[in-house]
Amino acid sequence: MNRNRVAFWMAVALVSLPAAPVSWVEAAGQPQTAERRKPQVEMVQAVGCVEERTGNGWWLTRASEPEVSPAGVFNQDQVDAVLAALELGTREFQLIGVADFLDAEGLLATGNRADFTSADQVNATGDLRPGRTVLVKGLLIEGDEVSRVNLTTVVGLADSCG
Amino acid sequence: MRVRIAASVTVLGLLWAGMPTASAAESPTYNQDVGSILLENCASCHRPNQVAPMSLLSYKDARPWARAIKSKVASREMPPWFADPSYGTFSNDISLTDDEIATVLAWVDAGSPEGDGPAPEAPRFSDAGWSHPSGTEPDYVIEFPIAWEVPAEGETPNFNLYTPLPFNDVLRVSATQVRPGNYAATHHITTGLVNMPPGKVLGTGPAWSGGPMVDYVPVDDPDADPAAQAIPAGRPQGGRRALDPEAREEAAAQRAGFGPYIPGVGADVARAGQVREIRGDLFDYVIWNLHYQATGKLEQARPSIGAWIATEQSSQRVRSLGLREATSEGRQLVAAPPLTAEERALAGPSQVGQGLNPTLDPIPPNDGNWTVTGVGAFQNDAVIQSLFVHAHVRGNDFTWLLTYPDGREEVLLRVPNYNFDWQFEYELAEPLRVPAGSTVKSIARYDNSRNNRRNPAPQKEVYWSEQSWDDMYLTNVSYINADDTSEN
Repeated sequence: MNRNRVAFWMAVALVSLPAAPVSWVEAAGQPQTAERRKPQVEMVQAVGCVEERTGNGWWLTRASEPEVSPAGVFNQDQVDAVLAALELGTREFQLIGVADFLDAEGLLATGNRADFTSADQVNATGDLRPGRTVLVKGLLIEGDEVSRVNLTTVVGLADSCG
Repeated sequence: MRVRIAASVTVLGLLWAGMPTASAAESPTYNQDVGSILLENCASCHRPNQVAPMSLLSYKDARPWARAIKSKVASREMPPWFADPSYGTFSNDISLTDDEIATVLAWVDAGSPEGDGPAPEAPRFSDAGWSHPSGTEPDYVIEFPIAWEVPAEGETPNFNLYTPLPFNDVLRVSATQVRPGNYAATHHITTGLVNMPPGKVLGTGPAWSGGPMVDYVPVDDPDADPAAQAIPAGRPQGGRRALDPEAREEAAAQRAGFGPYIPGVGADVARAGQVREIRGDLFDYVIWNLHYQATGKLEQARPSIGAWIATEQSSQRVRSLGLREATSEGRQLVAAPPLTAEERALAGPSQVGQGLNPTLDPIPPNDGNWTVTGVGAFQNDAVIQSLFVHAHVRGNDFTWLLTYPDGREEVLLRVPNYNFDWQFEYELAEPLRVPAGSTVKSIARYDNSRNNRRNPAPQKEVYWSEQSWDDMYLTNVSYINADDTSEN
């Protein structure tokens, strides 16, 4: 009835241990002490400008070169550091998995979200708005013509870009 | 003539015997129809010494409960199952089909007849009360050394006790189970493998800060030789280590113990061809994370662990994908800056109420639509096996979504009415192969309003911890790497 949950529940048990690894907060920014096996798809972060293209989705334009980034939420020091050294670039990425980072209307118009989400139940950040500067994290899917980022995080940095 | 009459009577008798009465023809019977439904879908819990209040192993057991069975089955309250049938199919779905429900209702309405023929054979169950579907007893049992006394009233905090792991090699298992020893008084138990922190020994100390003095607690070793405090080479420390995420996942897997007891959970059985390793070569202790609840009378609980030794070799390792990034209430979660050593010392060891999800805000009083969405990422081709979510009594509904690398979004699972009493791991009937570059999201909604009939205190803010008065957002995707499968 409930196979495969041992590793997960160990993580749950560990949160009760004094000074044990906890939740998503500590996942990012940890020192790299073990030899890293390169995954098929890298988790990256990049900054850039948000652009919506009619009929062609959401894009990060004037984007910085993507940097490999560990999974896990940013902490405020990391965000502040990105903001302090903000430098746009020339890359361009199509953004996918955007629904949760649009406004409520955009989320409800995505896939079949409206089938199980009422207007008062929407959890949409609204950080993806045209013309904004954002810091994104996600899976980088390189392509010959278009490279995509499947989003896991969008942090709004400024309401304008450049 | 007498012969002819006798023959006619015999023929009529045979015809009559072969023609069921009107009611028998129209109504199902226990032996022919209903018994197998109850045994297949209900008896794993409805048998002696299990969580259910009555046994349904036989006609004699079931008959007195016929009206209650009808009521629970008609409302789909039993057997419990919470996945929306619109999305996905699951191998552990114990809900009844419309036809099965109709059969049970018709049987009760007809007076619950036993019927002719032999009774359906009950599945084999463990004599000792274990829940492996084969009915076998575990090959290995670890019993907690003492019975814990649960007070009749009041809250008992979540606490940890340690017992020595009674083997020092690798135990390859196909199934494990943690039994609470007392279903009513047990909120949950999780187990894991650890080593004693440097300078500590197993001794007598408070079960929790200010709690009763008990054995099986790590205490300062007054005779500790600083030079001897290091954990032997090759054995991981029990506490925090600086690890990159992959190494952290590996360490978590190595520490994986025998699993949990949570309501609705039985034996944790690996799929065919998969095994798990209990690393006695790396760890010396079992840590028992215990959480009890008052029942109104003094209770005793003595948990135990069972393990079924694997009989086949396999390289497939079940992995656990954490959802490490999240948004909540329209806000991208960003952690506070890490504390300095000085700040950590000032803050003390605990973050009361926020220890589990410190980036989440508390749920405000009377908020009926509080949301959080966790996001996880597959960096390699994977095969999803199951989905799991854990919350407490404010948990209301959960939806799992997959976003493919081409941008398509698919609902994997929707649980529209989460129920703390039945925390299923939803096992995909067909494990789902997902390409590298996919993300998975778990959207949760909590109801802290008075509309939530389970809510004990809608007027209070709800924090995040394992205590039952707080809530939790814990999700998990169990998967194997695609290159672990025999297809590759």
